[in-house]
Amino acid sequence: MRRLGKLSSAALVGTAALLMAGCGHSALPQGPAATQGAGLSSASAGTAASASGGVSNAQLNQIDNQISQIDNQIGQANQGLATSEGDPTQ
Amino acid sequence: MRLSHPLRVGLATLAVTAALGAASALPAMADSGSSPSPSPSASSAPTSSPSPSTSTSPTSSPSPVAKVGGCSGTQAAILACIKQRSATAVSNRETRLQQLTNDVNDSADITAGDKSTLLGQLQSDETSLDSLNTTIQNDTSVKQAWQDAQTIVTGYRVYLLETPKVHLVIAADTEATVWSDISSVMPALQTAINDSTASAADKEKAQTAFNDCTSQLAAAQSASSGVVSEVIDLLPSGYPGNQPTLVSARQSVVTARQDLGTCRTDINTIRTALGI
Repeated sequence: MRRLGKLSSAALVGTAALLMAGCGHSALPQGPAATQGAGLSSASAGTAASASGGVSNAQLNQIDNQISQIDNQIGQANQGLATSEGDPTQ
Repeated sequence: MRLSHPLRVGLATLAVTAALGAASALPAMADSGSSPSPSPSASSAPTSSPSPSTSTSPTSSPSPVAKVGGCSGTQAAILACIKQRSATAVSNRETRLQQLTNDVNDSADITAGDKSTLLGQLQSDETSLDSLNTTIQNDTSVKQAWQDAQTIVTGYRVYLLETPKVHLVIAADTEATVWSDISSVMPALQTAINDSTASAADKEKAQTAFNDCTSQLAAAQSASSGVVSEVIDLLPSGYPGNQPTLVSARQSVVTARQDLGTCRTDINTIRTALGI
């Protein structure tokens, strides 16, 4: 019964998300990431995933996340390049 | 209490003699290993410059103390020390290799070919390091153990070569994805500018940003497109001669990242100017 209740809740959430998406609202979570790094205004982030000029906030968020990943990889590469490696018995 | 003159002179002479004796003993104490030897963890991370010299410390103690790398003591003690530190060094490198493997597997943007190549290299390194450790643990002479231990570093360059190489490949492939993603929305952005009812000034501002974004994309592609082919097959045996290639590739990745970031900011400028 509890399991069924959980399923029903999940179905309701899913249905609501689909309805919102159909109405031009994003089912994707919006938050600080939407404005991070690239300087999106909170107002434009608030309008969320409706396609704006053919570019959705979801697409831009994905790009922002990928750029963050590039920064992370560069940081780790820098660490490797900055180290030295000597006698393992030392 | 006042001492007579001859007695004061005698005591002073004794004190000076004792001081000189203690001073001469200090170097011998240091050489004999009375100071703590480097801990095994010193090899857990990349260390400072190597000191591969093998020496016997000059000492006045009855039993001369040999020193090989960071290990000292009797031959048996040195051999045990080398084996113990080598096991730690291998274990730490295997941990790093596993982290790099996870990074490759977790990347959503690395190409299938690059992923396969890197995973193959990392797996090969892990297997070979395992085998090397077995060899070292079975070594029966200090000389052989020490020589084998050096190849933990020189044969693999896990920290200096493999680590930056893996991250640069992932970064370059991710840049290619970002380039592709942004390029795919550029036509729609141009259409939005053309069709916009914004003021002429705002449309011009948007167009200027669009043109800049286009230039930045081209520059980013030019900078990072050759990175993977430059670094993915770099070998430990080529180090340190191939280190400048890593540095150059890192700069290319950084340049492309900056170009893509500028383009991303341009897109914001376009959207803001058009009110979309």
